[in-house]
Amino acid sequence: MTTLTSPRRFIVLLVAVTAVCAVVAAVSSVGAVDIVFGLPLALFLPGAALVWAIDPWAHQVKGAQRATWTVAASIGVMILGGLLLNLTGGLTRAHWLILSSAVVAVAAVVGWLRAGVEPSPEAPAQEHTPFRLLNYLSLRAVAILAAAVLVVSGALVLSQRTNTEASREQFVQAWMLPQPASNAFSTTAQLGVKNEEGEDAVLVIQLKQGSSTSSWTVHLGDGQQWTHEIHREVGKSVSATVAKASDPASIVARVNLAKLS
Amino acid sequence: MTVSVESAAPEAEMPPVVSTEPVLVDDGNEGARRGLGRVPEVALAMAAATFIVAVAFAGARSGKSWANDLFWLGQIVLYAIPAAFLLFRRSILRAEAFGIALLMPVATFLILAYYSPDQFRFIDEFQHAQTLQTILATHHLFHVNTSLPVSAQYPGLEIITSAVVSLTHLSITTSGMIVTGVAHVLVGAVLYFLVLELVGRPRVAAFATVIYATGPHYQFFDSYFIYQTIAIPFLLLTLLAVVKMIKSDKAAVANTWGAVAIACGAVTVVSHHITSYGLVAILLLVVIAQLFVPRAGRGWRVPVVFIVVVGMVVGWDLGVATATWHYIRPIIDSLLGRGGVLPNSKRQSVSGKLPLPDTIWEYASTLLLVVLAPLGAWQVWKGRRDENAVSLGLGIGALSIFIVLVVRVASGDGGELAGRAMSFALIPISFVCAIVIVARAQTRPDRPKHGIRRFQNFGMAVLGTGVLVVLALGGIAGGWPSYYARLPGSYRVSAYERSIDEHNLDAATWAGSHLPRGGGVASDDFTESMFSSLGNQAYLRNLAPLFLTTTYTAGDRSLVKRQRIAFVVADKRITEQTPAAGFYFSPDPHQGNYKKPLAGATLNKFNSVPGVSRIYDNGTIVIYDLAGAAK
Repeated sequence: MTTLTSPRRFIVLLVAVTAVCAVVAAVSSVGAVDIVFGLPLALFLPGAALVWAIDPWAHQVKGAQRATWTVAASIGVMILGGLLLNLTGGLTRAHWLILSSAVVAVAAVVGWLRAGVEPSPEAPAQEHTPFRLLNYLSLRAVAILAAAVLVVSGALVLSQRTNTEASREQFVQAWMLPQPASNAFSTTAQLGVKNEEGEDAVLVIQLKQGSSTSSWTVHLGDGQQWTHEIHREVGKSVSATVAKASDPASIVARVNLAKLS
Repeated sequence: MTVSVESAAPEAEMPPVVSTEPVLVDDGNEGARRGLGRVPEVALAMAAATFIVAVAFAGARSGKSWANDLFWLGQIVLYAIPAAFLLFRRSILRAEAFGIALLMPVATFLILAYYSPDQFRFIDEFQHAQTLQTILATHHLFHVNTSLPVSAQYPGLEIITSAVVSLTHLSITTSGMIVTGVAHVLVGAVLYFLVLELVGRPRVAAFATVIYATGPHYQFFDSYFIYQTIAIPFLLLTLLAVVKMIKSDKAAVANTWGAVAIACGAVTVVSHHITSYGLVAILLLVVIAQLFVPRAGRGWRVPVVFIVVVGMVVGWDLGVATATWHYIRPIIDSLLGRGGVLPNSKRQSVSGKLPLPDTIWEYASTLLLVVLAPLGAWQVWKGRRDENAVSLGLGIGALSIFIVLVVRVASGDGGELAGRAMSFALIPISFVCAIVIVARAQTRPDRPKHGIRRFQNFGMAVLGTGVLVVLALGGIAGGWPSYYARLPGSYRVSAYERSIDEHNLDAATWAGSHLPRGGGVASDDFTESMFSSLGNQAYLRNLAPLFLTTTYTAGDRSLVKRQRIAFVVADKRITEQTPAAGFYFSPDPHQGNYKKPLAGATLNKFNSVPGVSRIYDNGTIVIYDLAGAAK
């Protein structure tokens, strides 16, 4: 029962890695750390624990197929576990951490118990042969694979750059919306402008309500927005125009609200 | 240490007949012969092929005329390399075969990433993104999806993606790409192991994955952030578990694999309706096939797995996914030629009218499959005394190519429906076609090890590679994206992937954060889809008349009231371009007949309707609030 067989050693390692990932993911708020420690909790560790619980001596699946089942089982158990979480506390970050850790813990116990049993004589099984990367990789193979990664990286950079350049649009968003938006006859409204020019812009905003006119010149960085609250008067329509300060005659956006009745 | 191919496991001598006792060289038992073989070289060559496609995409974005030719060159190289490697090599290492099975989905997913490296590009992806956003916001499933109600009722993809988002704090787009990328690679890996279990031949298994990769929706549609992408690998995993169940000598092991099959079936069922029906169909074939295999190959477990999966499908569809029938009925209508609500149910396909070369390639590939699939099915049938039920079931299933052919030719939306059906039909078809092609290009052990004569059937290997390339070209030509969006580029009206840009993305996102949820939106079909998915607005149909008049008529006013239209979204580009897919609206009475864009007045008329407010403008897209006009 306490023999530290090869599968048991792996299960201990699996539990330790899961514990580290869960603890770090629970306390971390750093993006890269979350990715490194969070991703295995979703896509690898639960499945690995399940596979080792079901087949600790690698009688059924080995090598690449075992790795395939590991990833698939992780996804599967998280999907079915998600349905369970929906019935209990909800699909929150904390509950995902608990689910992933609990699956590994339960599977590890089952795997530990099963990994202590000697393989039956009818189906003699070897101890699991650990994967040794060096058996697969020569210097030549590594060099060629590195070249392939380099080619793919180049293609990705090329795609990213040309896509960014091609999809870059330059425009200004303007809106005028009753507050709250669900009440079209509200006496208050919001006038908003957002700069999507891809660079700083100086915008001239003109507001007209009945015969009164107001004007603002605002400097907005790329992605910045400006809002102004408007008090609507009954029987008067409200309209606004936006133009660039460099060319105030050319209106880039025009919004209005119908008369309040 | 990498070893020469000549010293590799000589699996090529084994005839590719289906057997219940496949001759397998176990992973990890190759001792000193273990190595990657020529996988690195193949990987580099395939990477270079994808680079060619990336350069073609870059050229297309800047309007270069050579981009299209370069795209096809890259695709030919991408498919020819693994096909030639598998057919010309005297012997294949297990690592080489599995390497190709992995490289194929990786390379094709890279092409999708090159097409759109930083955001979703397909409208359906935004629909599923809404389901995911709702889960992340509420922490619960099954909330209403304003754009695709059935999406929320099959939440498998969104559940696993929400786990990734929650645990890694990555964006929805990045998390979605990780999950779909893993799922896409899983399809290749699992199909490889499935065929390997059935025939015991790594070469046949790898070739089956390459054939499957020629599917019309393989490169893009089946890799998008849509529910089918996560369901297909679990369909294959269910079949793999069933095969292992059948092959297990021990009852306890067989029972375990049966439980695994049911669990994988459950994931399929909660992830995608059509895939779960496909799984039921294949399992039914396996149950039937049991009647034709020797008594020793029959068992009670296969019917049990089938019944449990059917029970789960029925239970889920009736108890949870109650919107399924409403969603599927229009597809059936389209299939049967009745007047469905799909924009293309009566006239031309969403693919538009394919250019002649594309049509020729598409039909050539279909013709090849029509010839090869029955040959393979016959070969499997002949060897049924030595097969298990899954082999025979897949052999029978390969004849589904004729059903797909009928759909392609006879249905009003044949190209689209046949393309979707091929994602499932190609599972058995790739299995039997791989058997046929590899058998004819196989190397004999008594051939010289060097020189041209080392290829037993040099001509057949060339022919086999050519067949594979034609299958790939036909799949791409008749598949997704359609020809007008096959390469990225500037915005085009009604062009699916080419109809997503910053203008409608920003406007729809603004609507999602500023407008009340669930308001009815009237617009052209693509803008409306964006607003219903990203903007959380209700998706309405049959609105074309509102945009086909140049003045605001009493009929328009009646339509607005009847359909409860809250907002009109006017994208001025529909008054500047004709629709690439042939339609602006869903459905469109003038589909396929637009010779010029709509008149400007069809949109500008809303500026002068009393009570209508112009609440948003970004220079290209204007949103009108009709609340005041309804009074």
